[in-house]
Amino acid sequence: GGAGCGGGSSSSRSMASCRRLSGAGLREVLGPAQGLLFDCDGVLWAGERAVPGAPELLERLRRSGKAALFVSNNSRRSVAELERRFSRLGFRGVRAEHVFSSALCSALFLRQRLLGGGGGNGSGAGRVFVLGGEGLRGEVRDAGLRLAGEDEPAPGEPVRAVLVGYDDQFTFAKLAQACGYLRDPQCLLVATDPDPWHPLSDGQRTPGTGSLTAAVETASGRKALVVGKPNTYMFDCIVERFGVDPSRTLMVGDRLETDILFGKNCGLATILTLTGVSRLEEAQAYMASDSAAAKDLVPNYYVDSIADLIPGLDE
Amino acid sequence: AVLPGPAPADWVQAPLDPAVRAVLVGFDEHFSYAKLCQALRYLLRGGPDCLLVGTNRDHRLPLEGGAGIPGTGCLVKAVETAAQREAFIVGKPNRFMFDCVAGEFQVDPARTIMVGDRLDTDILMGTACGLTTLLTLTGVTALDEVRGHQDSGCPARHSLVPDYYVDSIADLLPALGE
Repeated sequence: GGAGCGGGSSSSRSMASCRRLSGAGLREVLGPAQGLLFDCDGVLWAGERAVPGAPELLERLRRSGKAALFVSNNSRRSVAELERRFSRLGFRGVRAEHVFSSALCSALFLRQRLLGGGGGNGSGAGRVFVLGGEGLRGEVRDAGLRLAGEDEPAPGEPVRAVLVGYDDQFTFAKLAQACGYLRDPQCLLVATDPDPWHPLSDGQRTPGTGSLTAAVETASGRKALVVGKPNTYMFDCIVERFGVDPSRTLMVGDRLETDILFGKNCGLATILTLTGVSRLEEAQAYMASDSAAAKDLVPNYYVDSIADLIPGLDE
Repeated sequence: AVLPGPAPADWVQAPLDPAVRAVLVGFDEHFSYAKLCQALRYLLRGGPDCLLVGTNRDHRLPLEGGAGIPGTGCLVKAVETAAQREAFIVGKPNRFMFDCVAGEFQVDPARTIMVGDRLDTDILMGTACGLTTLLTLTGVTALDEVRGHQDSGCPARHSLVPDYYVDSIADLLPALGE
């Protein structure tokens, strides 16, 4: 079938066909693109090691006048920490404003919902109970929100949201505390991302926010609002800041259920890179499936590594 | 076992017990991310050769005054989500426990009443095992919930409807007169 081939990206394409991107196809797809959105873990780097050729790809994109923005479900780090990480791993010219993490976007989401998006001084807006590390807590504070458990609560400052992120200090006690707050139907339940696990460099896995959110949902009887991919809120944040045209933007990721589905949901053409979580066989299995939902997880294109995109750019 | 270091990167270096062939999730008020991490490691190492068993799926343990604490079901869900596989649940509504009781005590289902407060565990198990079911209203279930299932067109929901109900099990006393 010819669906999704060549001619760059169209937002209402029919089923994607997971074509290897190489040679002339590379130029046809990258040529018209104004910018690329990259997931980070498993795409640009794995652990403390940059994917070979990834820094060069970003450099070549810059020289070609194409935008590179970053969209990550990882809620551990603040965007300031991520900016330092990019630099440390050899990527030049990436600034915090180019990086959209689920930590940042969750804070922006809560700011909108609790403060009406205007910032303000936070009084009367209520507090946020955060299940997560210091990176996530910092982003919430930077958004002008106050955290439960820090300083004395002022009168009229109930907990108005429970935010579940990656929390390697998660305990039963915190779960019970979250449930206590969620007895108030006005208290929001928000999760940074749905990821069930994350890969570690030696092939092992560590539990993700998704598993902690499942515990909180089960205990409270509520469904969480999930900020991260595959939901589209992070794309709204990107559009608001940079005015991206989905029909001229490519989404590059390593996880079918988050990155590729995110691309589909936002009207972006998608490229799967095989340096991370998902295997080509999984994409092919989704393609062979009868289920309509499975088809949405099939990327338009794939590459072994994002370094393979370099020949598609002008010298 | 004591886990080395404060972070997951340290924990996943700890040696796994080679003899472990099952992960059992029960009520654990000391549940933590570290334990969840270790559970995931055993399940990944063993694949289908490592059992994943949960004692029950109750999501809440009610306390006085309408408060409650998270139930075992929450912890089971966390492990199932991380491992992307389903646990075998021993507790109600699974009939495993009834089979244990019936095996020990010569129980005749046709002459046995299951008394409980929860439709999706107590009553459902009772129905599945051919027992007469009696709902008491001193626990988690209100009568509206039962009416909802009764009035629904769904056969699966009908299995949640008890044969009888009482406001409290004390209401049974008059039937057991001198």
